[in-house]
Amino acid sequence: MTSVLLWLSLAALDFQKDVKPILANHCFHCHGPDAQNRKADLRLDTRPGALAKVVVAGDASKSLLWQRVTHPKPALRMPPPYAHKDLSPAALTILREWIQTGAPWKEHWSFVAPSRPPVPTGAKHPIDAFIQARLAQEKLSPAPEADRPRLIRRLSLDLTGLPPSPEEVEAFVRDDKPGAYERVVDRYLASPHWGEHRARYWLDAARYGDTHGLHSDNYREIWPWRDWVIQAFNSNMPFSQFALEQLAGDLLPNATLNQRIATGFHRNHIATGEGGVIPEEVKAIYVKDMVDTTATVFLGLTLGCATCHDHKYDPLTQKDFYRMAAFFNNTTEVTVHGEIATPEPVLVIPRPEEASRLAQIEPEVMRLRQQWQDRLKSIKKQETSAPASRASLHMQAVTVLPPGPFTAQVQCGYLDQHLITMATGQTGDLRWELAIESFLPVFRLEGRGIPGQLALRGNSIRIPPVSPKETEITATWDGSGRAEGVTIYVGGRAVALSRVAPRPLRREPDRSFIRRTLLYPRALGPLEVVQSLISSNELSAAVEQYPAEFLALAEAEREYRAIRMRGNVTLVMKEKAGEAKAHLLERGQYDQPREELSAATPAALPPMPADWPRNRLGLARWIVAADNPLTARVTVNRFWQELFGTGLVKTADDFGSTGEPPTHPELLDWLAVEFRESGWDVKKLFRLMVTSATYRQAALLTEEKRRQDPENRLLSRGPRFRMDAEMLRDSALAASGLLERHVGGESVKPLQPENVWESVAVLYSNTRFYQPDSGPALRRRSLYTFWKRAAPPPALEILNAPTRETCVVKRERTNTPLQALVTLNDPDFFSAARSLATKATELSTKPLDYAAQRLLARPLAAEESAAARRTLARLVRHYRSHKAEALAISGRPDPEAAAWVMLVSLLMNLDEVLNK
Amino acid sequence: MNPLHQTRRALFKKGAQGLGLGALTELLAGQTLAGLPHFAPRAKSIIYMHMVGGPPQMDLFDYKPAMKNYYDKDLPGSIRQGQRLTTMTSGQSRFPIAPSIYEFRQHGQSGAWFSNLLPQTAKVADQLTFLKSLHTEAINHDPAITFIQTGSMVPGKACMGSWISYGLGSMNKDLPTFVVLNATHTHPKANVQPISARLWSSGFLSSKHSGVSLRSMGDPVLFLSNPRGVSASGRRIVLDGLQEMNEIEQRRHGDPEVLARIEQYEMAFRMQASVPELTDFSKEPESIYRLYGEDARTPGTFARTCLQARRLVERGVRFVQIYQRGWDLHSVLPEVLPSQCKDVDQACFGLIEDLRSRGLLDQTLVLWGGEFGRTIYSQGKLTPTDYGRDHHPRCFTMWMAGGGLKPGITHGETDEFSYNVVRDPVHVRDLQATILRQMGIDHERLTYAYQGLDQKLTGVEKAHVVKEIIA
Repeated sequence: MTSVLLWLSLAALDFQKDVKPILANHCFHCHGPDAQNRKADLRLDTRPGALAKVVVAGDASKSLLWQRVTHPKPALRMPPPYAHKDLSPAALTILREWIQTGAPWKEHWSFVAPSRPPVPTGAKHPIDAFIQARLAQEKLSPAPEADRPRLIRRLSLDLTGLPPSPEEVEAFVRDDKPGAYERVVDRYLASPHWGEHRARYWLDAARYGDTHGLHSDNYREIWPWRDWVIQAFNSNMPFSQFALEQLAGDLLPNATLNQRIATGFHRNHIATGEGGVIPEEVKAIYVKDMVDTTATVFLGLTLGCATCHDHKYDPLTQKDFYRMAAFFNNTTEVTVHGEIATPEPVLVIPRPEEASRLAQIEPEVMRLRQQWQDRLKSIKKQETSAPASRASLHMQAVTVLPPGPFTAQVQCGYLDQHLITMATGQTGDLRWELAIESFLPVFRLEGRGIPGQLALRGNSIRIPPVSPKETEITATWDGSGRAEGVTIYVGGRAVALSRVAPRPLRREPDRSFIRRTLLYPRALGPLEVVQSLISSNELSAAVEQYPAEFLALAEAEREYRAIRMRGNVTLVMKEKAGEAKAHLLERGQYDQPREELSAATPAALPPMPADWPRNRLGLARWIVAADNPLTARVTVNRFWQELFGTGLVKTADDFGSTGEPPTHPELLDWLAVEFRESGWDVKKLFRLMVTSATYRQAALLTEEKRRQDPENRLLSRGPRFRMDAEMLRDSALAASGLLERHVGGESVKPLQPENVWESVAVLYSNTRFYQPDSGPALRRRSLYTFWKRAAPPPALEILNAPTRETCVVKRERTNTPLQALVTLNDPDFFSAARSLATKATELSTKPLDYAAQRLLARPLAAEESAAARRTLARLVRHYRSHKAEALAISGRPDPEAAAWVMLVSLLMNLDEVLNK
Repeated sequence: MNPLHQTRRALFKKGAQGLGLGALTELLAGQTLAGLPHFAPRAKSIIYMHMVGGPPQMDLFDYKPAMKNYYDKDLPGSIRQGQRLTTMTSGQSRFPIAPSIYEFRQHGQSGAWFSNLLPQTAKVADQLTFLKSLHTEAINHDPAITFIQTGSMVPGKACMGSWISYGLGSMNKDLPTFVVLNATHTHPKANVQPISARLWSSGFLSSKHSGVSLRSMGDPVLFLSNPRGVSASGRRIVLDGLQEMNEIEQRRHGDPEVLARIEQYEMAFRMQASVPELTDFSKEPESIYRLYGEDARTPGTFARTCLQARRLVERGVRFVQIYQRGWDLHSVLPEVLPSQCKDVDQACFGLIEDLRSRGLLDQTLVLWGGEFGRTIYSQGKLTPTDYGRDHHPRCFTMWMAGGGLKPGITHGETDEFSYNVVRDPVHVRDLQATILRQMGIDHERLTYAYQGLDQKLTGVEKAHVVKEIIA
């Protein structure tokens, strides 16, 4: 109490900083923006609301508010005891003072558009001017600049996510010409690893994953979107464009392939294919996720709180929520995805060398399809009196076929099982099986003639799932013993195939849903397959009358499909026709729709111009509009957080009333305006931040700063904190020379402990068994690691990587024993230690310096060196008497070699190495 | 003197002034939250056996003799009341009632009803507290499990074990506070539902409150084993050297976080000794296997996880979560259910008896049940010997034991169709509130400010402690 009073006498009350948080936290729940649940018709979130009833400006004792919060009878005292929100004596003092001084009021800071504040005098660099002005107020002085090796290590890690090479350090240390530092900055900004590192943060915000996240948690193919993000950062796409293309690239005029790939942003939400779910319920959850994510990432608002009722603390109504929901409610997205990797809408990205052929053949296929449709129609008009005779095919129903090519055809009825074997048999000494797994056709061959097994399945990434109703599946095999010799047709149309991990044949066929099985002792061609299935007279007659046209279509379709199959696929957004609307859902319940609302942005924020489209494109333009008070602030804050560990607003995900106000409001506003006016230039912003003296300070703590600035919120020293999971692993791989550096591509599966996936997956999940890759794929940057959301990469998860099920803009940073186990024992880390130790001892006469240069970017100090050597000597002594251990550790019966591996492992676990 | 202890003591002596806030919070992570417990706790630990998929209450505990006369008759509309169905049965033209084909008998002084599928568990009937009137809001597995674990159907909230860890902290600094065990099941035709790391995730709470999965294959704790060739003594040399060099660094820049890191490395080293001891069953006497059944010799079985759970609570672990899958009995129920029951029956008996004889039952709250119940009507074809049952959120049965509950009682009642609750309904959040209550926690007051809301396990709706079952 004394300290508060003392403090009050020193500084005037700041409504935003001092009073509003108390009102918000203790009163708004019942007397705030939420109209429906407002008690006593009293609102304290607006000044008129407060003055109308309970506050007499300038006189606390006459103010009902003061009387009630200090009421002697607990039952009448506010907040009521059941709220568990008692006001502290300090809070009461502030409230009283506030009323006494006339109850001054200010709009919530983040809802007022930032204007460029004057830069304080003093330092040359604007950031330093703001930071140092505040430090001076607190009577603290900044730390000196970090020494060059430490500085370039910090910079390299911050701009590329990788440690600097010894050569880079050396060059920087020796460069005594002016602008040495700035030159290094520019080099790192131009590195292809810059985009990878920035993208990695964005993947958390965008909740990117390689599986659907729910139920079977099957594979999802959307990594081309991830590569788009990397390229966007590398090409320094303005952030406004970055936002625009991700939210609404498909709606841009003449949208390019890349602009459509970008819209994968909102296809990253988790999705289900669980049997029995209610599509309306699921859809409501997806849309909510898109609204929540958009609000968090771009606006720093907890709009999700207004799903069930008006927001309790911020001026966001439930209607605002569903008006925002309307923007995302108008897409063609498949709701229950049928457990396939590419639920519609999707985009096929052909191989670059095939793009022109695809462009050529696509209209041709469309033309042939149309022509064929016309033929069918004309035949219908002819009203052929006699049914055309069906093509006669040599047909032989046998279960054991002679060796060589064959065709198996199955007509099945309703499928409600996830896995059913439709037909099995034998041809020569090969056994075969045709089955449906998770609604996808699978064909397997197994036998001595074939090394291992030949397993094929309808490529889950490219074909629509088999309809659960009547379906015909045909498999033809050319007898070649190669996977490529198999073609699978669903309802007469060939589907794209790919190899999958072999699984043994099932022993007992389950034929309960099979209507008919036909076997032909040769491989049927596409025309024959259709003919064999033909049940309609028109089709049959058309095929008979126009065989050449049918075959031309079949051939063109085949090439068309083949090119598409060789390309990649990614999930995208596609708008439906009509106006974007959504129903308000009572208490957020999907089955309680209320009034229908048109798409609109929250009323408390600057309105969208009337002539902008009320769709995602309009929303995206509004988000990056100059008068949007939030987007620029929220974005620079997140970038600041990437460098300094904590944002100027600590609650990077909440810029509302319950979020923490900025430590340096003027600096935040200055940066936001600067960023926006620079054309949302991301590289320029980073250049500005890392060239500040604030960033370049040494991470040195004094007793005084420890007391006054324990969390370094005032930036009284350089940033120093434990690196994120991916940075730790990537750094270990880079330092040991193992890192495979090429940019982009399909996600990879490095080593991970056994049984991490199996223990959570269902039998029919296609991400049940973890098959690690081999070779360079094991050593790629961690942002390429395959992300199964039900069981994320365990080492990364232990080091605070989120599961990627929901949007995360601020990772936690804990310090646990399980993390120590990862960096000591994870094979990735230990083999990095082994590799670095081998290189150090074989390539260098000063192995200790060699390792230290790569891990710390500096040679060890004398004291450290001495300590390391003492440990090395102890290790050598130990391994001289434990030769078997030494052999297992280094692969050589050499105690020194083992001791070096262990010493390098030690160095890799130094606090300084784990920190940036 | 162990230099580490000195470090640790020095650290505490310096107190808040001597430390960065971060470091201090980390070290206090294992502590009880200020103001807790709110009441005298009746239990120190929880063993929660979750039967993933939803066991059919009317085939196990919720005896409905009147159904014999309803075989293949349609479920009356007055009972269904237009309730929503999953899309797996909403297309069925009729809802034929499938009476349980199992025989029921009353057991113990309490006269609790059990079907003949659980003969061993029935022997401890008088230790059990039945809730027959549980109901939930979700109708499909993923949201339903997420709901019962986190109080919300939408992923992202903290689960029960994490809340307990956050509120009450650790009782054994060498072991995790919240441990997850995944049990295997036997029947190949059992319909298995997935589980996910999100079910033991701490959500918005610090991830140090996440459940640590104790695995039955490979390292019990991920990355626990040293790399090949690295012995404890070799590792010790490294850790001593690491500490020495970290202290040099700490002296250079003065950041107390370094000391906290040293402490974590030491705890990791201790865990490398304590966890193998924890998972070493060689000293368990033969009599233990008579109690839990022979299955308990096989790693990964439900019986083994029960025995493991006892060893965990014995060592002060707060929350043991067991998941057993295979209870999603949409079809061939008579073929699969007996096997599922056999997987768990003896071990449930063994666990209760074992805890009781060690005096641990009083301080351990044991729970057994699924995320929802199953329908009285058959999914798919109904014959006198074959049927399946769909998901049913409107009522399900759970049993609890120990932890200051009234043993040998049954709370709540369903209608004669085991379809609707007719007396003393217990919502999932009431169950959660009751569980917290037994641990000494007021569910209204264990909160965490996140995204503008004081988050609670029981969510924003009102929850009620089921006082009637508390001793």
